[in-house]
Amino acid sequence: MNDIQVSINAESKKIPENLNIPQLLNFLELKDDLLVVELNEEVVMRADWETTTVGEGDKLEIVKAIGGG
Amino acid sequence: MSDSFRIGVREFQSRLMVGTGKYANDQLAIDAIRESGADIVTMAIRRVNLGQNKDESNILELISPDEFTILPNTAGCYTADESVRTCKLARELLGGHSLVKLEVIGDKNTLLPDMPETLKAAKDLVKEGFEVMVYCTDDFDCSIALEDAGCVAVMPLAAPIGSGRGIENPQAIEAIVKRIQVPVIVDAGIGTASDAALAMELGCDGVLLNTAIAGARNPVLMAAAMRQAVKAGRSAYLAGRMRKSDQATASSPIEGVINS
Repeated sequence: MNDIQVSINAESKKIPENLNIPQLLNFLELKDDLLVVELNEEVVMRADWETTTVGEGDKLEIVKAIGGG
Repeated sequence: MSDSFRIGVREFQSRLMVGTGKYANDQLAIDAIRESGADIVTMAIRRVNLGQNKDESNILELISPDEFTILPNTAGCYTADESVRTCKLARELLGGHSLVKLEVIGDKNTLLPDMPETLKAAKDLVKEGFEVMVYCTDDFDCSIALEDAGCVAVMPLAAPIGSGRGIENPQAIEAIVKRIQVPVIVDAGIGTASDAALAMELGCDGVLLNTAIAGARNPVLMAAAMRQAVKAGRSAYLAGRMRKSDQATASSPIEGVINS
């Protein structure tokens, strides 16, 4: 399997190609609840996670809620 | 006596809204927040740490949307576009929930809001279907523009974020309260209970604070003080204060004093 280069939370990362969002989170060892994923500045709705595949050069943001005022 | 109020489509009992930042640990945060009696609790949206512990706790597990109305903020955003993106992420995170606290900061040292960007973001967010509670300066005309843009609450600062200086310009807050139809909530700069009481005595619909509780030596006790202060200030406002007078007026009758 080939690796692709992507940006995740502004960090450059090599990940396997053809991962969908749950597979990506699993690869990153992140729990898949209580977080949100943005792909190329568009929110990926949870209903679309299975069918959304990450490609070469994609820019991802993975965020969660934290304490704040 | 019920004294509930409405923000957008939702009805709330507590006029005290609290943040979840700066607590020594999550347990202290939830203890203080429960003691405050707040219905609305603010949170920030941030990148996850890659390579974090898979079992790391998530604040939404402890401070749950089942117990509180979570108000995601756009703290740390310096442009309208960043804040709109943050709100969209928050909406998806919270299952379609549209109530947000908009703050667009202008300067990293003063943390004062950038009002032109704030107004632009407010208009964009309203167009996108968000219910926008907007952090702003205590400028009268800005408040009117934000209400006209469709914000569901206008939230002028008492003093800069985290400064604890209390209400620096009560006349400006009072002028906004008298003019603005949507709820006016003093947000940021509250230091202690009397500051919160004063905000309510001025006629504000609520108070939003974080550091005043989280930064107290005993946050849980300060949370109780804030709850009581907001209630006391609200009652005093509803009761209508006496007129101030230049002269003293005896409270006891003059007639019948034994040496007269």
